[in-house]
Amino acid sequence: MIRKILIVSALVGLPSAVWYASQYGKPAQVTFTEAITKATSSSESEQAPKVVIDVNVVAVESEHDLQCTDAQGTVFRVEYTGSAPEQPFAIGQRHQLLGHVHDGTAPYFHATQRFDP
Amino acid sequence: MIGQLGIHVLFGLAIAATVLYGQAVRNEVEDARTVIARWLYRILTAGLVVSAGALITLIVTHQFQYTYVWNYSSTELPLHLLVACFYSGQEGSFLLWTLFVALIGLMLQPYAKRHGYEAPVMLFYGLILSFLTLLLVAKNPFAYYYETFASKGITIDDVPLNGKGLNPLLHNAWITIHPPILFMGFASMSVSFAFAMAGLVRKEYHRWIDIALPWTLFATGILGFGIMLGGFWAYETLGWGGFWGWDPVENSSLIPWLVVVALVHTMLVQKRTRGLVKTNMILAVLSFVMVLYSTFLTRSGVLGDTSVHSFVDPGRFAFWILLLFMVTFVVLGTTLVLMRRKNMDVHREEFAPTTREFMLSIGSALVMASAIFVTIGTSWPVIMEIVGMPKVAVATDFYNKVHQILVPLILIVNAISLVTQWRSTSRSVFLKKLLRASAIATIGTVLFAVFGIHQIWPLALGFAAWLSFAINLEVGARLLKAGPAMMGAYVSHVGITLLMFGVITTSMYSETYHAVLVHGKPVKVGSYTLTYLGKEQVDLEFKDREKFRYFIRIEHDQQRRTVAPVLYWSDFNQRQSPFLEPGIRWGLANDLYVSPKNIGREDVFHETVIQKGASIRVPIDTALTLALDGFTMPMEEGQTEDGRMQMSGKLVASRASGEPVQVKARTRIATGPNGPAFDPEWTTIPGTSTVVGLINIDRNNEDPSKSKGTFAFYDGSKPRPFAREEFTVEFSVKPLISLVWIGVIAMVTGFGFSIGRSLRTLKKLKTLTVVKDAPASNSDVETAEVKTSDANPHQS
Repeated sequence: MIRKILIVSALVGLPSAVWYASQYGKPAQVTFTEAITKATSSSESEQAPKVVIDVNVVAVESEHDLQCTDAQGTVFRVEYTGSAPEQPFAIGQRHQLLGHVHDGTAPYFHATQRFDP
Repeated sequence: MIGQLGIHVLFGLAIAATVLYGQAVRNEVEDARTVIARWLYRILTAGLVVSAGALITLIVTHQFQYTYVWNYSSTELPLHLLVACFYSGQEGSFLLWTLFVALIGLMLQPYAKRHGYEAPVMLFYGLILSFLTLLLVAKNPFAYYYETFASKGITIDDVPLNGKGLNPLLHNAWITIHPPILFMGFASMSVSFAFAMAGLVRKEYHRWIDIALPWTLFATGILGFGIMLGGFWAYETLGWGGFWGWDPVENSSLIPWLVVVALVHTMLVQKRTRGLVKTNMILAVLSFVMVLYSTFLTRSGVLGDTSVHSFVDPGRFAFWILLLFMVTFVVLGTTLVLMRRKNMDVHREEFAPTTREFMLSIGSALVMASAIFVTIGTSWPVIMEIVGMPKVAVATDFYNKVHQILVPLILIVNAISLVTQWRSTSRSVFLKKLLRASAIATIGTVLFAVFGIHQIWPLALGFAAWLSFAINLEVGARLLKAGPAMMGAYVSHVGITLLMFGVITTSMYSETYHAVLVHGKPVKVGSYTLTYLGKEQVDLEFKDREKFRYFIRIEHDQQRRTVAPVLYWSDFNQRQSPFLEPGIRWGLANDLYVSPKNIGREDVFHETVIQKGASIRVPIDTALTLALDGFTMPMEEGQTEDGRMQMSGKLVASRASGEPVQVKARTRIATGPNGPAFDPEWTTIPGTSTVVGLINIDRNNEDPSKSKGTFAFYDGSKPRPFAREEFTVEFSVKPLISLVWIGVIAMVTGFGFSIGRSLRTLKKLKTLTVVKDAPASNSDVETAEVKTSDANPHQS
């Protein structure tokens, strides 16, 4: 009996656990301004929450330093420290960037992953 | 050079001892190979002791020609922190782990020999040490500074005068206690694995349980203690406000602990019923593999920036060794379990639902469910990266919500398991005991509700904790006459319920206030009055910081207490964010917890920011408009006598009637470790009594037209106001948080009692059994074992 209970629990429980984790492991898709709002409202001891921003590259200073616009047209600086992308960043490209904002006097977005929509 | 070479030799010794023990496994009697392997192992352990001693000596004597010493220590550190530098980096912590595994092995060697298990146990133990010493080869703590930075043109003659120093967050007594205890826990987890593997090799599926149980209890107790010491450290020093944050580093210790907790209980079931043979083998493998997996997660750099802890990339070689280490033991354990699976089926029996073995199995399954959820949550960023999705950690709510269900269930199952009996339970006794405890739990839960808890989960947790508490206390008290050794499990369980009570009271009844405390001015927060009394500079020997302790007086019910939180910036993190330490007034009934947030000056000057080209209304004279034309350049203004540069804000003041007038607000600028310091020359705006001063310039290098100035104002017809210091804090009252710490102490004490009892039982058992337990026969040995265990009907 206990064997059956455990096997059934495992068969049902494991996929459920993965599904449940997926509900809490999704980054919010936001604009740069919303990312700053999220960062300022998070606890002071925590890093700003990870978010995804849809960006359009408007200037490439270096492979780690970009200027982008978001869906609202806000221009902001992006520091990219993720793995080197197969296609280097270029003006006019659209990407999804995962990262967090560094707020303060000159806020910027620190991206650690790039996705191509 | 000797140090680096020595590590390679230690790796060779570990391999040689393992190979020789491997060859000796087949022998029934001890031969020369076993004797040589034993001595090689002892030499290896001595070598590790010497290596550790050498590294500590290099750190204490400031030998900065070694990269590790340079990277983690400095001349300013006191002795206890210099010793802690030994394991503050990856290389040193791997050495500490290896050293503890070796030292435990030194005690394990004669113990295993006494029980006829030396060769097979030490074979697997030696294999673990081989991987650990290989890790040391990859992450050698004796690498030279000039070797590490050869590509940057550093030569053998370039020896740094001082080291980078220890992270200021680690400058406290807990760094000397918490990591060694945690590593002792990790190291001791190897033992039950080695015994399980030896049992599989020998095809002895029951005997290893008795022999490995004291070690498994030790691993569970010490690792649990280490984990909660980390929680206490976070609470007491780091100012997180809580003791658990579901951070990957915390979780990585919790996962193997949960598995070994499940293992202890299933081992007890097998000891009494001969069931769960395969389960125990699998859990013994899993508990050790989870130590490796957790190490891999937190040391390989795969979690990247998903934690508040820092994860240093160990380099490709160490990454692959860590991966190989983990994969090897997964494959080894799985292969042996699969190879022997048919032999292990000989004693399968069904557990009736009203028996203790059934409830313990269910309880272990629930603990394992917790381990699985925590593993999935902690691994989530890695899983996401593998499937090409955004690499993010799960929100802490994931863990909280899962455990809101699991923890009450575990406590209820624990309670029920204690009112059941092995093999069969009398229905009337079961119901009588359970109903009595349920009545107590109901009263306790109603009390929680009366005192303001109305949410379901804390009430459910409260009911479960009261139920478990009442039953454990009752059973434990009944066994009091038999001595503390008999009470181990109950003391541990009561400890866990006390911990849960602490969790409920602190999460449900804590009061938290945000307060801005002006120097000398009492501020009322809730029923408390806080006064910032002043500050005192401490740690003057450290040149990277100006560290201050801020004295806060707390008044409540005519009682006065003073706490001293700490807040400072350090060059260690380029002064990007402050280092914080809370001030705590400890109490049995509640803790008063003051977490510092910011230090500044009160705004008596009506500070206002003006962007170049923009205009504002003067805060103390709103009829007056002030526009910022721009700034003068430092060369226009020249330097002050003491060498400071000067700049001015070019302002135009105007009223609705009258001509605009030009005003130059000059400021003197000194550069310091905290950035530029502005000292304004106060200037009266012509035709008014308003005095203006330029107190900050925020220069926009990319677009100078967007540069900003911060101006301060006061009424010149009155004396210039004095800006007092303002200390911003978060003040919390945490009721009965002491139960958390008392609970942990009780839990560890309980494990201590259980270890003693387990060793005594083993001794008794050894006098009764000399024959090996053969897998296919239900021999006299088994009967004797069962009889011995039956002498203690309340074991759980």
